[in-house]
Amino acid sequence: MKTTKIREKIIETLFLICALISVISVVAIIAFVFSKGLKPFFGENAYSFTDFITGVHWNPENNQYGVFYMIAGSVFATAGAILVGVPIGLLTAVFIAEVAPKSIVNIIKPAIELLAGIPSVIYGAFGMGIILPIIQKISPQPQGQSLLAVICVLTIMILPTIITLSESALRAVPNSYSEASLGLGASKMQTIFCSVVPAAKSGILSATVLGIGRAIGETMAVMMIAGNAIGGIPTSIWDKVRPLTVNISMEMGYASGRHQEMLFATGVVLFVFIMFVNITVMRITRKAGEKN
Amino acid sequence: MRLKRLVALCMVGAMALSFAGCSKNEKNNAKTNGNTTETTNKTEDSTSTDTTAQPAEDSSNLSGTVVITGSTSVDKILNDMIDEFQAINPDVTINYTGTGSSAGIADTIAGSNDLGASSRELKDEEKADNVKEVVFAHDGIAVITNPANTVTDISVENLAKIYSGEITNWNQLGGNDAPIVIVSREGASGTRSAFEELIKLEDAGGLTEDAMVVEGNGNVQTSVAGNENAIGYVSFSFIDDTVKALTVESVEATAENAKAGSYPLSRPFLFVYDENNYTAQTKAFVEFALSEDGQSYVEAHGGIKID
Amino acid sequence: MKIENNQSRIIKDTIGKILLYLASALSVMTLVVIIGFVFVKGLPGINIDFLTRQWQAKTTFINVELKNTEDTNLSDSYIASLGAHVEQNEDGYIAVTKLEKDSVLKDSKNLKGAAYEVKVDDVITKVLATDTKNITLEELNKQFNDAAMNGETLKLKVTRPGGGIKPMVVSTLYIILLSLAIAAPIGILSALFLTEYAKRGKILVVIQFAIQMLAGIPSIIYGLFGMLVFVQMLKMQYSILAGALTLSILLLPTIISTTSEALKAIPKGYRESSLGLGATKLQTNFKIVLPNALPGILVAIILSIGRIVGESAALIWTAGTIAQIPSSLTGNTASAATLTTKLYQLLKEEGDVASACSIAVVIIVLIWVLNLLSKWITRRFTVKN
Repeated sequence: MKTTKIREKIIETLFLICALISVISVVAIIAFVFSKGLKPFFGENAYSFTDFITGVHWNPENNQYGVFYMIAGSVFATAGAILVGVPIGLLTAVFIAEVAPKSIVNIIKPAIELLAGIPSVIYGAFGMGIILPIIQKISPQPQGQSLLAVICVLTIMILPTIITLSESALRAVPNSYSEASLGLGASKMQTIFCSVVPAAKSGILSATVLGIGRAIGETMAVMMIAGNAIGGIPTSIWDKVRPLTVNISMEMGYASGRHQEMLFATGVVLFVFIMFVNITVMRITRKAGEKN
Repeated sequence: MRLKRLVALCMVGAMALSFAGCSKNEKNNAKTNGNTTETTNKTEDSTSTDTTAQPAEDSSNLSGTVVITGSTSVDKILNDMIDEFQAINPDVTINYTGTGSSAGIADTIAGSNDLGASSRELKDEEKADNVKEVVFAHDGIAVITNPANTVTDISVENLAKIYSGEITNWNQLGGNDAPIVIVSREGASGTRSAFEELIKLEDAGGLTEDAMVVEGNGNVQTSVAGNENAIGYVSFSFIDDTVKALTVESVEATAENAKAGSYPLSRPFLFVYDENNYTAQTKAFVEFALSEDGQSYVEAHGGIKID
Repeated sequence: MKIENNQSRIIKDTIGKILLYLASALSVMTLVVIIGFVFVKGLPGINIDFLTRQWQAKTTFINVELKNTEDTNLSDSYIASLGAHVEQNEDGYIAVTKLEKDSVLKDSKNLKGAAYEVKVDDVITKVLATDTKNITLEELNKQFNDAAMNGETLKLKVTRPGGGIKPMVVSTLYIILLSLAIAAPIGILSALFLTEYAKRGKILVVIQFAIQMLAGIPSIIYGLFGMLVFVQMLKMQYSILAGALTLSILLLPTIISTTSEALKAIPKGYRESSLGLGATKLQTNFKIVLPNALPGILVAIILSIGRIVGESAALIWTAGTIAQIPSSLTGNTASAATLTTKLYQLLKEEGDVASACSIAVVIIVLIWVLNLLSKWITRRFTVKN
C-alpha cells in the first residue's frame, strides 16, 4: 500500500515537472532575450537607451541604432489591420452564427479554417504577386511596398482569428436573449446588433486583442512587402515601413557583436508589446469568467 | 475499441514511415555523401574540351568535412564546384551555408568554419596574420533597371547621388519625368558593402532613408522587374531578361569588360581561411576551385575567371 | 408615424443584411484569390519529377565496364555496349532515356569502388575527358563501340538532375516527428497534471500564465531564442534537432490547451466509478481518462503538424535553409530546409515565384488534408458522448 502511494507521488511529481517545462521555457526565453538585448545599454561604451528608443535611423555600419520609426511602423500597421479586419471579421462571424443557412456555413467555415492554416510566407508571396502591383498603380508614390500593403496582408491574416473567436462568442450567447428581443417586436437585425453582439462583447474583445498579437508578431509576410527603409517615420499609408519583427529577421543571419545585441534589443521592445497584449487578453477573459 | 485500433494503426504507420525514412536516408547518404548545396544545378556550359588538363579527376584518399560559410552571391558557382568536387572525392563532405560575407569572414576569424567565402575585399579590421585570402573569381555588380526604363547609361558619380538621395528623378538623368525607386540590400550583404564602397557612397552622405531595403539578390531582381522606376544592383550571375543592366560610364556590364578592368563596378570573390586550420581536404577544394574545371563554373554563371 | 418608423427599420435591416453578406463575401473572396494566385502560378510546375526528385543535381564519376556485344540494333540512339537508350537534351548533353535489363550502367562503380546505379533521366556529361555537349549520337556511339572492342573500362561523368522537392518533404517529416516526439509527451502529461492533479493555487496560476505567454510569443522571438541557445550556446549548429527543440516549445500551448479541453470533457462519473472499483488515481488516468481523451489528443497533434508545416521564422534561424536530407541530428549534415522555409528561400535568393508557388500548392493541399482529418476525427469520435 505504501509503495503504491510513493509511486503515485513520484508520478505526480513527474507530471508536475512536465507542466513546469512551460514555465521554465518562458523564463528562459525572457532571460536570454532580455540579457542579450539589454547588454548594449550597460557597461563601458554603452549605447544610450534614449537614442535607441527615440532614434529614427537604423544604420549598423555607422553605429546608429534607432527603433522609434519601427515601433511607429509596427503600431500603425497593427492598428490599420485591426480597424479594417475587426469589422469585416465580426460581420462575417455574425453572418455565420446568426444569418447564414447551414449549407452556406458548411462552405464558409472550412474556407476560413483553411485561411487560418496557410503559412505566412504564402501570404507574403500573394502580397508580392497581387497586392503590390495594385497599390503601385494607385499610389501617389512610385512603389507598391508600403504601409497600406502591410495593412492589407495583415488584415487578411488576422481575419480567421477574429472570425472563429467571435463566432464562438456569439454562439455562446444564450438563446433567451434573442428570443426576448424578438418577442418584444425587434427585427432580426435589431436583435443581432442590439442584443446578441453586445452580449458577446468580451469574447469579441479578446478576439480583437489576439488579432493585435498576431499582427504585431507577424514577420515573413510583412518583410516581403513593407519596403523596410532604413529610417523615417511613416507619414501616410503609402510610405515604406520597417516593423520591429522585420528588423530582427532581416539582419539576424549576418549580425554579430553589438549589431546582434541590438537585434535582441529590438526583440525586447517587441516582447514588451506582446506581454502587454497578453496580459490584456488574460484580464478580459478573467473578467468574463467572473461575470458568469 | 475501434479508436484503439486506429491509434495502434497510426503508430505502426508512423514507425514504419520513420524506419523507411531512416533506411532511405542512409542509402541516400551513402550514395550522395551529403548533398549540401542549395540551388538547382544547371548543367554546366563548360567549353573546355581540352583532353589533357584533367588534373583532379583521379579518386583521392581525402576524407572529412569542409564547412564553408559566407557570401550568398557565390552561391551558384560554389554549389556547382562542390557538386563536382564531391563527385571526385566521394569521402569528402562539403557543407556550404550562405550567411553573408561579413558572417563568413567573422566565422573564419573565430575558427567556426574551414573556409569563408566573401564577395568583397577584407576590411582592415578583419585582416590578421593567420587569415589568408585567395581570390577564386572576379565578379561585376550590375546596375539594373526595369526593361521599360529609357535610361541606358549611368556614371558612378550619379549612382552615388541616386543612392544618397541627391538625384531623385529619372529626368535628371535624361529619362522620363518619374521619381527614382531605389532598391538596396540588407545590412551586411557583401554585394551592398562592395557596391557602396565602389561608388563611394559614404562620401556622398550614405544611403538615403528613401531607399527600399530587401533581402537577397532574388528580391532585388523581383522588385526591379515589377517597378518601372526602380533601380537596383545585383551580381552579374543574377541578370536575366526580366531586368535591364545599364552600362556604367558607357561600359557594358560583361565579364570581358570587368576582366579587362574597364567596367568600374567589379570586385573579387574570395576564400578566406585560417592558416592554422587548413586541412588537406580544404586545401584540395581551394585548389580545385582554382583549377580549370573549377573555373569553368565561374564562367558558366557569369563570373570572371582568374588568370 | 408608425409607417415611417417601419420604413426606416426596413432600410436599416436591409443595410445590415447587405453588410453581413458583403463582409462574408469579402472573407471568402480573399481565400479564393490567394488559392487562385498560388494554383495558377504553381500548378504548371507540379509533376512527378518535381515531387520525387532531389532538389540539387548530383554529379558522380563512374567507371563502367563496357560489354562487347554483337547487338545489331543500328539505331544511333541506342548504345549497345552500355545497353542504354539515349537522346540529346535541351542543353546539348546526353540523357539516358531507357535502360535495358542487363545494362552495364546498372552495376557501375563510383571512384571509391562503391556501386552506383545509373537511372533513367541521368545525364552523361563527360566520357573520359570529352565533354558530351553537342556531340552527335553517331560520334558517341563510335567512341563507345571502339572502347568496347578493346574491352576497356570507361570513366563517365554522370549528373542526376535535380529540381524536385523530395529533400524538403523528408526534412519536414523528420522535423514533425522529432518535434512531436519531444512536445507531445510533455504537453499531454502537462495537461493531465493541470486537469487531474493540480489544486487551485499559486502553481496552477503560474503554469497557466506561462502557457498563455508562450501562446502569445511571436515565432520570430522563438527563432531568436533557438538560435542563441540551441544553435550557438549548445553548439548544435543549424540542425533539425535545434529546429525541433525550438518548435516543441512553440507547440506546447497548442497541445496542452487542446488536450486539457478533451480531458475536461470526460464525465466525472468515469473517474469516480474507476476509483470506486479500487483503481488507483494513476491507473484511472492511464486506463480511463487518457484513452477517452484520445480523439482530442489526436486533434492536438494534427493541429501541431499544421503549425510545423507552416512555420518559417522560427525555423530559418534554427534549422537552416539547405535543401538536403539530413543525416544526423546535429552538426554539419543536419541542416535542413522544410517546404515552407525553402519557399521563402526561393523567393528571396532566386526571385523564382513559379517554383515557390508550386511548393505552396503542395503545402496548401497538405494543410487542407490535415484540416479534413482533424474534422473527421472530431466528428467520428465525439458524437458518441
